[in-house]
Amino acid sequence: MSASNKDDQLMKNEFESTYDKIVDSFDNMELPKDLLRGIYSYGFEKPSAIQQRAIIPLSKGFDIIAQAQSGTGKTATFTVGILSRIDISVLKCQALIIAPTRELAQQIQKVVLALGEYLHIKSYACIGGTKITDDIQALQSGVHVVVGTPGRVFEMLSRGIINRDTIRIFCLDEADEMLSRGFKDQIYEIFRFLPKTIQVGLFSATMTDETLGITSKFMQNPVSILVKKDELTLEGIRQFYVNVGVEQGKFEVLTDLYETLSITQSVIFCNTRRKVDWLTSKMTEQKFTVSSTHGDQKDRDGILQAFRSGATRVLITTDLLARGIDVQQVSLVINFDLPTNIENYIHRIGRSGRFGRKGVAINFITDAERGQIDELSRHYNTYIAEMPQDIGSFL
Amino acid sequence: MRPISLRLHERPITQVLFNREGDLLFVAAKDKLVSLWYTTNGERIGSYQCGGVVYSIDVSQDSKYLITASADAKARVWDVSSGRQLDSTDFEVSARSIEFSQGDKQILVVTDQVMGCQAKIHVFDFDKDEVRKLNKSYTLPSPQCKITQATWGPLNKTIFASCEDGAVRIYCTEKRELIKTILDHNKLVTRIEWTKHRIMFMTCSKDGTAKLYDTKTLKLLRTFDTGRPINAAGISPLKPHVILGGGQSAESVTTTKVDASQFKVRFFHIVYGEELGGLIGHIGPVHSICFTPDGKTFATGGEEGLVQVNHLDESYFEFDDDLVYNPPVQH
Repeated sequence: MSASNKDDQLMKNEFESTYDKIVDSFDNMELPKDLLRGIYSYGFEKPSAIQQRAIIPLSKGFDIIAQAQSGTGKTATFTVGILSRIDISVLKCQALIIAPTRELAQQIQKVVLALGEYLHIKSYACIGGTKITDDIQALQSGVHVVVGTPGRVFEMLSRGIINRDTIRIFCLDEADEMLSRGFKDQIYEIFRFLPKTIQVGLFSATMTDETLGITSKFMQNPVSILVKKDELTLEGIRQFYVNVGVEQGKFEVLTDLYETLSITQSVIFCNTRRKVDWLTSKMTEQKFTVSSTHGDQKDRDGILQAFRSGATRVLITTDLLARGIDVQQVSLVINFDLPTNIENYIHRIGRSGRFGRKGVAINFITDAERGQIDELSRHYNTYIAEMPQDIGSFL
Repeated sequence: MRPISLRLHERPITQVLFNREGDLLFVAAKDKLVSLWYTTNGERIGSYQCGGVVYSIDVSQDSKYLITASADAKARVWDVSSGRQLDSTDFEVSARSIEFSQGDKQILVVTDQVMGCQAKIHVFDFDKDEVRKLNKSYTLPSPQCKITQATWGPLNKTIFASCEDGAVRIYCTEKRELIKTILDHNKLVTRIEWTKHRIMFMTCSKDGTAKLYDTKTLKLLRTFDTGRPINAAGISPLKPHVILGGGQSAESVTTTKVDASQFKVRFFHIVYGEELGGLIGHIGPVHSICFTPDGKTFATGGEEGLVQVNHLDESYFEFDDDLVYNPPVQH
């Protein structure tokens, strides 16, 4: 019993929240019975820390800003909260969930359909890359939830294909990314179409002060559930750096590590598309088997599918895939380049160490970048050790 | 010894199981699939699609029938070779555990303690010659807490249940009542594993220990302390060895500073209780371990969806020969 209390105390200490109720069983959350059946059928047994705190305010209609570490159950959190508020008898769009990438939107869609199975939820992934007539036809035949990317969702809203009058919930996944320079205008455009009384939910593993400042434009007295800065880094992911001296030394170190990389599944992050292409071709020249993606949507689906199934083991990419993508057996992330955006460090290393799985992150640095490792360590109150010789035993 | 890695399942593995001959490996997972593989080379034969997370499986002695318990509140009977579903029965809540009785004439199914329902052990008569293969026989009284697994005792005279409150409950199948409760663990008991011929059994617990008992007297023979939750055990049919697997629960893995070595499966000597060695390979909690009946191969399944099949080297069998008692040959 004391062990339980200790665990609960640890969980409490991770969050700073304006809503202090914690419910540690799905049965006690007053969710609709068919939603409960969907939750248990999906194999969930006990709510994670963020689920214990955020599902109830969502299901009661509060605006919410929720932050939780990578791989701790955020998608299920907002999905359950949203599904608990859907009126199934009304076959019109009642909830919009927006994600920054197609892959992430498809992942969310899969969870919505699984958890909503017994509710007979109709959900559509509105993500572009498909015939627009197919989207129109699907949406006009009636849906309860739309999961999408900003561009296509905006188009469907502005053309009246998605009826905005019945939308009661607007949810942004990877909210700080969505409200940053690249997507902010599109999000504003979508928001202006929505009813004034709409409920808004924002979710991410990182929340900058800038993001929190912007939210006052969208939200009414939101429930705020934020991770204390000290707790943001995942202690389940061991973090290392290796000083390669000069930029050219990175490739040599990577090839030395390759045999270790391919035992499990690894993601290598570079900062530019050009660097991804360069590294991919150079690895391939040296007869190493790798796959890569950085942009072209047509290629992305096939490459990710091959990576998910384990047909390929090493994926080279940019920050395009730093957020949200959940591949079961990724246990190693390599930052071939340190991220230019400090928030993306958390998202990148969060590609390993997903719920229930340990991970390792290795940062390649040059002599000139030693200070950046120290800055990362201070910013996230984490320890980034020098990479040991026997790195293989950590994988 | 390089393990064969089976990569198909996209969500956690719940059970790995060999058939009686050991040539087939069945894998149940949370992605609603049960997959079937050849043991020798890891080649996939096929799969069985259930409607919810598959928590438990069993296969008949003749390898003709597969039974599954799943979170869509169903127990199903499948034809192993064609993959066709032959029968199913519905419950109100998730089916957590399923097992053929010895002789394959009955099947037990455990249902969960959720959504206002009490956990129960249901016993069905299994008649392979009938169209309706599952017929309700009886239900045992509820222990009023979650049952993680139930298993038939020797000669099907008893059913053992591992429970959330740390107890192992033993029911008499003739009187259909609880006859004994073992209260040695202080946290959830995850698994009960039998030695060959069910002379002894082992219980695994979230309290970090596994305990070995004499089946007849229920005397506690030995405790193995690993210092972390134990989800699974495999007891060698050939050697006095047990393999234990587990690791901290899935929800705390990502937020605590313990490395992947805690997910090693560890070998212990069953008589001396000492740790003999371990194998790395999983990056998440190990949920299931199973030996082939010939004792030469074992499989492990983990939270990351990976199954490892380990064909043991000759060196394993020679490893502790000096520790094995060989009675003097009669002249």
